[in-house]
Amino acid sequence: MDQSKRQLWQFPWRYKEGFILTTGLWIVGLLIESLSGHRSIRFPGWPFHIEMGFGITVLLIIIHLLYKDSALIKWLSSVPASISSIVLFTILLLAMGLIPQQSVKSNGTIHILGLDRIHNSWPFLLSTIMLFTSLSFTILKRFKPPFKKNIFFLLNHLGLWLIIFAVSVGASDTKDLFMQLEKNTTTIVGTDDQNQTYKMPFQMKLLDFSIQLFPPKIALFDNYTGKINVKDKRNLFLIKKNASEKILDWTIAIKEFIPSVKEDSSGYYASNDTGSAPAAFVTVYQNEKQITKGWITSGGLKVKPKYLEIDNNYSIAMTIPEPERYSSKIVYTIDKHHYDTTSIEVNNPLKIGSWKIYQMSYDKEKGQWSTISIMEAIQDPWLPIIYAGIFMLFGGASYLFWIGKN
Amino acid sequence: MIWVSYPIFSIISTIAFIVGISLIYASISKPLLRFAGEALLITGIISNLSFIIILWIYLNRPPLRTLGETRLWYSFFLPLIGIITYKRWNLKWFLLYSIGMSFIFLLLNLFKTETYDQTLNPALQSLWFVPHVIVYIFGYALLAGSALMALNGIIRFRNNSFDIQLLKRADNLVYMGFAFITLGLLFGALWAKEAWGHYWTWDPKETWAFLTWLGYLIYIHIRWHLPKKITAPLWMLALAFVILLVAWFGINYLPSAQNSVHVYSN
Repeated sequence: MDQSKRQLWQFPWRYKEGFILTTGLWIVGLLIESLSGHRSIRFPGWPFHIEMGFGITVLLIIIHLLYKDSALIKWLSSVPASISSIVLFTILLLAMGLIPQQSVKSNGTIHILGLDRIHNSWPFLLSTIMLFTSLSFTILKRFKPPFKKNIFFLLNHLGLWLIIFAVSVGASDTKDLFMQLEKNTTTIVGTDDQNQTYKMPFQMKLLDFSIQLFPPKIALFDNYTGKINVKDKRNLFLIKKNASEKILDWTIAIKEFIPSVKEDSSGYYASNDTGSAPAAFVTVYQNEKQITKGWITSGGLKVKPKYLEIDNNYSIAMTIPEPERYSSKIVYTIDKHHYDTTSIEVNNPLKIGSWKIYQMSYDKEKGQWSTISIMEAIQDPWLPIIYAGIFMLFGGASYLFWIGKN
Repeated sequence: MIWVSYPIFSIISTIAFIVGISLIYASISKPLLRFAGEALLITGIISNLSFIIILWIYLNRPPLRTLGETRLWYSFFLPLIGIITYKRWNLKWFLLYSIGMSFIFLLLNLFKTETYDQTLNPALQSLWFVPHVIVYIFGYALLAGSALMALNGIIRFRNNSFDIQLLKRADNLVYMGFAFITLGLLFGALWAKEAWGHYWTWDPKETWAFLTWLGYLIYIHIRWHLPKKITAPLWMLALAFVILLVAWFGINYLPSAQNSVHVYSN
């Protein structure tokens, strides 16, 4: 049997050439990154990004039609090429999963090579381009009758292609602005992360901000580290009057719980004024014997936080109540003609034209007395294409489940 | 309070599930027993669904706001998807796993009555929460099954008793598991978009979930292209599962992930 071994770089290429090329691409990416001076990569804006996106697509189709029988294009549409590009992408992502990203602590080399912001670095961009190219030629190779046979291949691969295309080309079209609403004040501007303000095509006024808080929790914390002791899973528990829970060796009984107090020289008194805080009187027992007792509070604007020391090592404290639900009642106006009153909360954004308004945050210091509600306004014109890609992948995944292999 | 009737429904479904699955296991070459078993399983599923519907009507809103309510959906969907998968692929162990998992949620609901009113934090009060978790529960189980097969394969290869059928059965589990984790990744993205306006933020959990997806993607492509290779795919399958474990638990310990919203800690 004649076994003439194929030389490296002799067509048809397979895996070795793929890994060499992708490694080379990675090194080129690192070089560009280190020489480009830490500037974030910004995609071109309107109208260049559309021209670029469609130009590249048309170019790929033309290359396929003219050169699909050439050795290079055959390789680019082959599995070894796709695996090489997926592996490069995976290795970059692995680095991203292991190296703390956007950490202020990153030292010189990590920062210069862009390893602390991998998803916005040149190696990542080049790797995505390689993946996109290989994916495009793979799809073009199979984009021929009988379509029915190839439908699920196309659903999976074209779905992914649409997502990569829309995310990359549309990146500069996504607008992400913060609107700080104050009670009974009309807001017409949004601010981006560079503190630039933009006039919005609508006006918004906060009528009311309402928040329901969970009761606070009792926590055991370490006197030396100041950290909550988490060895015992039942360490944090919600406060309820007359409840008692066991944490480690101690039993903590809640004798009194006042959801909202203020303090004066004689102690705590119930009050719903701004700046109040929850307070509880707890008794700590060990082996049926009372160890200590006292008031604890998470503290607020007008109340000093107070914790109870049990021994040299541990103390009992009350956590700041977490939000159970918070929403903003707003009235918005578009063009001074249409207006509407509605409520926005987490998981329930408001759609105004091409914008979607999300409840982001509030004045956490003031808590339930916050007169500020922070909204995030997002405009994502390429979203329909991304959704189309996502739903194609849903179809492809269902097929994978139902048909399995073969 | 409507929850007082929950024990009735859950006892009906518990008995239906236990007897049903026992009949299925005992039904080798006895199709009538198997049919009876499956009918009982469906009865159990209907019982779980009935309580959800009653609760929905009573509350006048979809029961998706409290911890107890979401557990109802787990106990409903887990056996349903389990039985569909079992009918399609004849995987009895998967049926046992789904019913076992749903019991965990059912029992939690029976004994932790304080969770009926325990509202979830705002971000979790979403239609996407339950589907996202369920498909990952299934996906991880299937991929764990394939990892066990990979381990089995590596050992058999060393002992020269390897059979290619093992790799083919592993492939099937991987295809199914991969389908579920694809859905999980996408449900997560759709949920994030509704909750805070961004479908992807490169949170460490998201990054590692994506890595898990890529690991199995590479495996699927290698098996497609080089079906005769044995050791390379076996080791890749094992490695992909290690990545899965990091995505599932490991990120709680990784220094790069300490600020993740997904880290399960206090």
